[in-house]
Amino acid sequence: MSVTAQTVHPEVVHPEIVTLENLRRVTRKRAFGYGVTLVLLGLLEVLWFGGASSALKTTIVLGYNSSTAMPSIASPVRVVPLLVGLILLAPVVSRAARQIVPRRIKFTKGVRSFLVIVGGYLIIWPVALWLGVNSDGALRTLTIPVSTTGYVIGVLTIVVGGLLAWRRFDRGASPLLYVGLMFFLLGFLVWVARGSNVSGLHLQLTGILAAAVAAATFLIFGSLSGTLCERSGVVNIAIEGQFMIGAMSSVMVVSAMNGAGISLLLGVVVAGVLGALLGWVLAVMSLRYQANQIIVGIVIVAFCTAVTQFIMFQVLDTHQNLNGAFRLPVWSIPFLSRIPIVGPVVFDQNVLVYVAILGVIIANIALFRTRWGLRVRSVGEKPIASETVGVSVKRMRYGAVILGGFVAGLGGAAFTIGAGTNFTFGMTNGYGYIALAIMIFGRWRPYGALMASLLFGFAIALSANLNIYLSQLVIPQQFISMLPYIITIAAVAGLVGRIRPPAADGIPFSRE
Amino acid sequence: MTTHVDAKAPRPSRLLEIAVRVRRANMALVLVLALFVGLVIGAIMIIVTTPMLVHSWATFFSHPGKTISENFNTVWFAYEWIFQGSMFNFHAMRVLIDHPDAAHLATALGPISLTLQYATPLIVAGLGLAIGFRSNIFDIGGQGQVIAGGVVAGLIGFSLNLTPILQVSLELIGAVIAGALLASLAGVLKAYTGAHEVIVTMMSNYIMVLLMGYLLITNLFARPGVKDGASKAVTPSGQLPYFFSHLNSSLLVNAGFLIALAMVFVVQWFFNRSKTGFELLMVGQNGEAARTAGINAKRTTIIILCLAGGLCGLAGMLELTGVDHFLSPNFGGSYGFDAITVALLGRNRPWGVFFGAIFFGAMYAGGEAMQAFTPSNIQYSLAQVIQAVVVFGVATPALIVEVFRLTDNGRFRSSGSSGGWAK
Repeated sequence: MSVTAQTVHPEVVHPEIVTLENLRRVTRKRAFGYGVTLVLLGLLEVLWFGGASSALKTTIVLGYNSSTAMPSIASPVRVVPLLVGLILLAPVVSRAARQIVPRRIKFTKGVRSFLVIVGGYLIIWPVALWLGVNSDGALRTLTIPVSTTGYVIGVLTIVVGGLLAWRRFDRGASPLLYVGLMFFLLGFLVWVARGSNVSGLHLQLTGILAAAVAAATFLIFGSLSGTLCERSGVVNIAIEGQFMIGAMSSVMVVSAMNGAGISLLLGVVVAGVLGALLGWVLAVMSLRYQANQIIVGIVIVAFCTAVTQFIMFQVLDTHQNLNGAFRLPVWSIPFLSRIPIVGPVVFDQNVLVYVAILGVIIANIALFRTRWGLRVRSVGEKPIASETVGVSVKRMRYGAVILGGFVAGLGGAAFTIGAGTNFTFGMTNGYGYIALAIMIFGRWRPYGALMASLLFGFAIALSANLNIYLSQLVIPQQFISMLPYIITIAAVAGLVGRIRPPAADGIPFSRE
Repeated sequence: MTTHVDAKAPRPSRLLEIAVRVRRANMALVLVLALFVGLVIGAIMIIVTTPMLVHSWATFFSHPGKTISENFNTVWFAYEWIFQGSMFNFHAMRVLIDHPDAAHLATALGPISLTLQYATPLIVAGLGLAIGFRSNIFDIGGQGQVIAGGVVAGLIGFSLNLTPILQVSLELIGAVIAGALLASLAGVLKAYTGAHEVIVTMMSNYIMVLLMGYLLITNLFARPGVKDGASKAVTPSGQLPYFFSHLNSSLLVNAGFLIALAMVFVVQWFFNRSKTGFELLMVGQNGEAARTAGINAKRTTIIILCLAGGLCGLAGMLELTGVDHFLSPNFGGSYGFDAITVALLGRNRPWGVFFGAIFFGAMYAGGEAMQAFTPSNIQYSLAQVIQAVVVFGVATPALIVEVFRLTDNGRFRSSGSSGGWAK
């Protein structure tokens, strides 16, 4: 295998010997660089707002827009979901906490998780209580001058960057980096919006964040699909095609049944199943016939493009009733949707968003905590070894690729019935390929994929929303729309060489 | 291909021998069978999406003959128009036979000329991408590079007014450089940071579409007084000349086809005779061996992408100066993506790409005729579905070999490594 030959080749591999210590040292050095960069960006932001006197105001939604009255604070309907949410978040938060709390203070894992849950509950409850006391169902908003927003965001960027540079985290660096980058982009938005003086226009901060989460949904599905496939050693470039087919089929199913309740579920399932079917085709081609996986992926995308184009113009143009705009129901998670800013942004979304977030959590547990996950990863790293101990490489890869196809198909449904729009040809806009970049950015890990998707989703929402504020700005709208693509190139160029994909990624396996 | 016949064994019957020979897989047979599968899938799609035909199946058990003939006729009529629109129009041929003269000959050759016109940019772009694919570099940024070439060629084309040969050469050089520069971005990033070219080139497509959209509204490009985003037209001296246009204005072959044909020979020479071409092939077939032999992988990667991008840029120039004569927001169309499939269809061989591009050109031309002349206006995208299926068959011949129970001695069980992301 070419892999082993490469690792011993001195010119090919990074000259440093890869040990855990070395890796940490390199990561810390890089974290320091990132941190300093963020601090500088934050300073730049703060300085930019120095002489700003804009009439523009920022609107931040605090409460949530509910037509029904909330149950009382103490009722289990509100307490239980909060607890569940905190328990699910505990591993993430406790990992972050371990980085922030000095190493001298030692906790066992259980104690730390417990403290996180109890502490989180104690902090969040009073805030939610305060917001919920005189809830009359109205949208509670906070309106502040846009320059203040700019200052706050700039300072937050500096704080995150400083934390990153000061502590030089080896493992917790990426979440902080994501947060810092997001603050920077937010600052960019504020800077752009400042120039606009359309009367009565408010910078809808929470609205844009919610749009970012919605845009991140299909990216989460796509990058999760890529992660599943590539962890097993199969490159899935066909995500774009699975998106297209999923987007079209779900809208057709739902429209054919006139948007009845069950049809929405059926639409999502059909999108997933068709995506899985395409995944199966990829699996057969790359596992049974050992074809070049990139070529198979490209051909699948070409086929899906042609099929969706044909059905779009042949059927959907003449039968408009098959291409209606239906939206999955929006579920406001009780209690959690009351948290200021986070509530309306994350917990007041349609069902697919929750499915995506749950999917990430489940995939993370499945990949790193179960026997199945261990086998999938081993098949993607060293297939011959797995085969020797009796794990069928083919079967594991088939399973992972078909599952990945299903997930990508769900992502397709997020384009149409998730966003409440009808299907238009070419609406996937290359996001399938961006999802692959996100998968790389997230280092082939579900949580990484989630974080990176949120960042990219934010860039997409930003480029979609910026033109509202662009009336007076020098930057043409086309350049703003390029933002997600440019960020993708920068991300791939800045990271790939330094991170390690699964060793057997893209290499067909045969027992001989 | 010879069959070994043991001297002692009884000689198999002639018929059996032919049957064995026919079953032995070769690329031509795989291609024909893939086309057959494509036509069958296309037929199914026509039947499923035409309401009249769907309804006809309701009476299948009472009038099976009627149902089948109705379905068959519709599908046959559609495919007949693909043929008539791309190769020979039956009516025009009949007229030609009755009145054999130059003008009628020109009319009869009209569909073929349309096919060649569509094929011209595809030949060049397909050649470019084939160079990459042969070296395991997947440049899927054809669209962006075609646009880059077209934009630069257009800029030179409408802002200058020189002697034709000089201006066309300038356009050509400019377009090639533009395409090569855009692609070399992916090459440099791949060589020095390890960014995978698939993602970088794909993103550059979207960036170029947006960039062109912006350029078309600037004063430099926009045609004064036009709001639909069309650019100024290329001056007549910058346009590629049409051949035979004095005979009949429906003959659409222009000088671009000759350039494309020349590029086939150049690429053929490049791979078979030149040192760099040999190095590229070596990198593609065995990167380890190439590195051991002292071939600079970084340099090679950048060269490959420059060549691929340069040819795609040239394709953009041929399309702009030969056919469109001005830029519009959807300039380039799907040429960039179809070039990928053309390269795969031609199995990355120069002449394979040439004929693959002509097949695609025929499908474009025929698809348009089908959409215009069939009663239910079957969309031309059907031709693209057929194309995609054919490419699927050719890219993974093992599938066709297995489905049709051909014998191949494992020749088509190719094992292709796509090599992961970080190489």
